[in-house]
Amino acid sequence: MGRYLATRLASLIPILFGTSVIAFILIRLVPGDPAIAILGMEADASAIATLRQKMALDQPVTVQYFSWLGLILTGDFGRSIQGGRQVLPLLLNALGPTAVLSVAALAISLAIAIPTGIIAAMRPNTGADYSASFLALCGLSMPSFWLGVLLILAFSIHLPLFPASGYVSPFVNLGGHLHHLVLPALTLGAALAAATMRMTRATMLEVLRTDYIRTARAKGLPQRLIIWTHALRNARIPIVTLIGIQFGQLLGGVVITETVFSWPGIGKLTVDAIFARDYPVVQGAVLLTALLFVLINLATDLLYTSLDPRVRLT
Amino acid sequence: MTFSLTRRHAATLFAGAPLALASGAVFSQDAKTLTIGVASDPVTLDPALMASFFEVFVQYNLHEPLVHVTPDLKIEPGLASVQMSDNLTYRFTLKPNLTFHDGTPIDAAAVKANFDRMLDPATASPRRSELSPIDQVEITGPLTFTIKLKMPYAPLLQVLSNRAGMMVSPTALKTLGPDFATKAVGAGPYRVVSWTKNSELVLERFPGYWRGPAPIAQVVFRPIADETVRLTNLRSGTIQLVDSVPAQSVAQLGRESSLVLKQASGLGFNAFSFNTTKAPFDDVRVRQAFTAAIDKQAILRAVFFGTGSVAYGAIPPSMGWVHDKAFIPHTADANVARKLLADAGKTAPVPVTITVTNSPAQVRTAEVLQAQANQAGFKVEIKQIDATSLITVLRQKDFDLCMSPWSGRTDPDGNIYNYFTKSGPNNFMGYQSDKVTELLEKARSAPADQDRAKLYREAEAQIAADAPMLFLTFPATLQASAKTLDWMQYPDGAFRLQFAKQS
Repeated sequence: MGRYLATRLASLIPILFGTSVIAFILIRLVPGDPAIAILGMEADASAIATLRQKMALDQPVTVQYFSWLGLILTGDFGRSIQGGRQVLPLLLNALGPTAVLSVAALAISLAIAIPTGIIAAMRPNTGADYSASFLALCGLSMPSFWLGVLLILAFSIHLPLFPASGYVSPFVNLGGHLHHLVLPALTLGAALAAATMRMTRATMLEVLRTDYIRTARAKGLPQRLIIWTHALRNARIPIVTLIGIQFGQLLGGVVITETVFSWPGIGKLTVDAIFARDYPVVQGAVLLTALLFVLINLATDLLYTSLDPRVRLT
Repeated sequence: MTFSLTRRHAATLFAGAPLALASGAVFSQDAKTLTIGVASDPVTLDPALMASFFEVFVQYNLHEPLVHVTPDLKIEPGLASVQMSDNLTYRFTLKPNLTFHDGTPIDAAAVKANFDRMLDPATASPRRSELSPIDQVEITGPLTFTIKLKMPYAPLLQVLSNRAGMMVSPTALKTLGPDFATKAVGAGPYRVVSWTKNSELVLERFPGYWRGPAPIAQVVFRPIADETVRLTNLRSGTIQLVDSVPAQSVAQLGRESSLVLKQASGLGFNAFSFNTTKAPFDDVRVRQAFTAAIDKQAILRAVFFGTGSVAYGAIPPSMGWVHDKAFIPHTADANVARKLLADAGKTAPVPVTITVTNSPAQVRTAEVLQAQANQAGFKVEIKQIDATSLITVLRQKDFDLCMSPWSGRTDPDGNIYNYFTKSGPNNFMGYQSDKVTELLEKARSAPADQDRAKLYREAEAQIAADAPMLFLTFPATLQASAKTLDWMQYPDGAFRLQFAKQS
């Protein structure tokens, strides 16, 4: 186990190195010069040249890469080209709101998906199953910008229960923070629930057909115990895998939900940085996201061993 | 996992709800705070480095220019009053006992330090080109200074009523270093409290503001990118003032009793640059043909829902002293277009590409242009690019016909000089007219407004004849607020909240 952990953590180095190279090159392949993007319509040629020099954009790409890498290794992610903020605090400040939103959305999605998935699997091809599948289909098909606006109309305007947008730091006002969190988390949770519900239904159906469930039924165990104790336990691994992947993706940012609700997360930050050719921010964000994705995958794998004692990680 | 555990989970989840409801005060705004929905965060709060339209909403609240411009574009004293000794010498007197937000006195030395910084090539300030006619800034007393010009430059005071005239604290520039861009210390009616990127920029009123403290204590700018969501937030009361109201919502908003829609003739123009340096638009007849093919009224209706007005030149109706309503150099006629193409020896449909950014309004504009031009003998293809690539595409002349909208300036010079003089930085068209360049140079230096107006009209007539640019519309400035907010709209779309009150 210790060796497994060490190997997995060591594999982070080539992964992050590769990611950094790809991020560095890809953003430079996008047409559009950051100096021109910053200076806009009013800049003259000399200002553009001065700025390119200031940002070291006149250097060869390899020189730029290694000087950036050198700084990263000392913990210096540089400053944003747009507005001059330090990149690392900028990213970490945006990661917090995204993490909160992701956890809340996952919690909502599980609260919806697990019960409905189980009900659908217990009564396959019945009205209950069809309605659950229909709901899942709705969740999957509703784009979040549409559902988000719909929720704002319903719960901010017609029934003014929640604020239409914005963010309050939990350190300033926890109640306000949760209050602002509800609508974006619901929007995001609805879409996630659909996939988790389908996965729960499929794996539960499979498990419910196995011999040991038949034995349990033959023993006369109550249905509730069979489902929740015997069947769900074995259906957990694929569901956990799915949730792990979902969580990793969520931490990369949920651009549309963040945009609709003015939620200051890392997704909108990254997309804005790409549009503004803000190289240091894009590079930093990609690195950070890759790191988190790998760590969450690792955590998911470690979770298997506690969910299923037969799983041994070597 | 057992059922009871799940139930407990659900209970925990819903336990948040009453707590959340109890905190309703968080979004029902108190009258002391004004929350404003804008399309995007500003990029920087440093006026020397501002280069985007998204700073317009914030800039006059944080910073105070040397002179102030009224809604009808007249110059009034701001931090300073000014007298012209001759058309090369402007004597300024600063108001006494004023300080920046950090307590640094606003004196002639501070003003000079600001100009030196903007004019220093190492700053790479976009202000440098606007201030290039300045020969020297001379301190003549603790509160007096003189700006001497290399050549007469009539737009100087209009330029100084904008970003180039906004003075910042030299002390803060030194102490904050690169953080100045996010914590700017100026002399405007409000000062920065905090700025969380993509969330909110919070300003509080500055007690030492020269006109006296602003009526509203706190102002929050919140970026809400989507126009529908921005309006929904206004209707829900989460915000009380929005910018960039979509034209299609104007009619609907006009009917809502709790909201007020304001529209004014803007300062800018919607136009497309012809690339005059390569075929097919290097031939003036082909440019005239394309221009004749386009029915601007149709664009005004289909894209802008009748807001704003059609444009035949760069100078909008808001500059009433120059704009000529009777100036209609051409009308839409597909037959005229076909004849011009035939004269130019084009028999087969002429293939051209229209380059636009991928915003809905721009794509719709391109589609209307495509439909109309195709009927008149062109074969139009539409190319979509992202907004950041636009300036690069224009500067590299990598287009046939490319959108080049301009947000506008309060002086006609700011709308026309950089575009149509031979070496103007925004002459993306490659337009080389000695006559127009000479007229625009003269208009810049002519002292009397009526002489300037005559020169600009003459230049516009020549530009229309040469057709280097396809002018489409003058957009209206469309903004909306809660009825409880009393505020003044300016043609440039900037909010000047020192004059706003909440009831």
